[in-house]
Amino acid sequence: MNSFKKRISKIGLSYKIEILKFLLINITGLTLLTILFVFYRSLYMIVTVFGLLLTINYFVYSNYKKIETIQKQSHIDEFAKIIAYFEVFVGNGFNVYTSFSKIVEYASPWMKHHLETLISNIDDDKTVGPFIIFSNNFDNRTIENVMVSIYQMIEEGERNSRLTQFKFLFDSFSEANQNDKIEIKKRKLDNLNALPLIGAGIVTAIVIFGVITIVGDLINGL
Amino acid sequence: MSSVYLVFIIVSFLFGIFAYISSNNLILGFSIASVFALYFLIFGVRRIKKWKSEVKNHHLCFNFINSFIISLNIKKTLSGAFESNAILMNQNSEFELDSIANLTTMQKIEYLEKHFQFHIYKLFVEIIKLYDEQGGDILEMSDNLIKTTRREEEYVISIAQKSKRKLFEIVLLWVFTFLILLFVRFGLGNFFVSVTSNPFFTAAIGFFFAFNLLANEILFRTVFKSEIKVRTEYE
Repeated sequence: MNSFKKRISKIGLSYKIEILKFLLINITGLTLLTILFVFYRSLYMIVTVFGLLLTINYFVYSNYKKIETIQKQSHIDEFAKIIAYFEVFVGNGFNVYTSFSKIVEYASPWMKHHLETLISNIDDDKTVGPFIIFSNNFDNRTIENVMVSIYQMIEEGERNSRLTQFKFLFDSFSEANQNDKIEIKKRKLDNLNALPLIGAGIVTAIVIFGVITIVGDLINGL
Repeated sequence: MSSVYLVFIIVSFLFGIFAYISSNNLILGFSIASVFALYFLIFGVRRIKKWKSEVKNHHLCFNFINSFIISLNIKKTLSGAFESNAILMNQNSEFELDSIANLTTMQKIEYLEKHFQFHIYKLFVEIIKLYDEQGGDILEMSDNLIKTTRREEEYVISIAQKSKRKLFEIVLLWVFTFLILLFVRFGLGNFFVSVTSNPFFTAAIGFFFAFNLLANEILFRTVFKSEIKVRTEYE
């Protein structure tokens, strides 16, 4: 499977539809370019349409990366949500296995699938392996530590010290996740500064255009 | 909210005046004032209302969860704890607690999920259900929930403060952008008179205001977004 196909299927889109979308955009653009070349032969228009076509292609392609990043963050967020339920159950005396079985009902289909795989893997493999495999679904190393601490709870019979260790790790993870989200929001807000600057750029371009037009008229008048 | 309406109407009117004096085109000025007024009064107000209501509801939810847990720890019964918090809920008429007077306390708590569509409230309901079924130490059971609600409340306040500060910065930057246009208009009066006869110039001014409208939409979408963790359809 090529990397593009892999990326498309990873974010849950249809490879065929996306390829069709790309083909449609490019065939329309190339047809327009051919028409412009045959009937108008205007270099200015051809360059503009070609530039526009490249820009559209870039935005369509970069959108996949954006979706992937959003999905990765939402999976991490869901982990934080779902493990909060887990903590409630395990803290109230349920064992790890039952707690995992109980939290499945609050999970999204994606998380449900991975939780069910984890539960069935725990049945077959009593090592830390299934927990590590589960944590590999997330782009966050702290999740691995949280999962390992859950495994240690099974190993050592949900002892109080292990529960405290898990709570501490989960707390740190939630705190770090929250801070990351504040940083993301801050970056988004900072990016807004560009808008008035672009506006000022447009005003400057309008003034320059006016000056050039007047100078042009003067030269033509002379 | 009426002050927001007034501010939006004044801003739209100012945009119209700016468009008119920079293009000498009354139709353009009037169109821009109308488009901005429509946009602000339909979409802008709706966004701000939604944001305000989400933040307010989150504060209420945070207070309810905390005081309910404390009351439950003292009174040891769900009904007692709910009664203590009914005063807090009655401050907000939309909860219509009188209409659910015949429900059990657990049903009343679940009913409030309709108003508190947050992840933390769902977690709270699950903890209360567990407490109701199995008993235990409510403070210990809700230890993580209390930490999560506190963290989320801090998050919501921090985001709201940062957003308001950024909104002020952006508005100030836009004011300076408009001042550039105004200085050029009056500083180079003769230049403007000769250039406004060019239709391309009028179109360029229209394009500038269209960009401003787009920038406003992006600004509203980013600033007036509470980023509160709401309940998913699976929870």
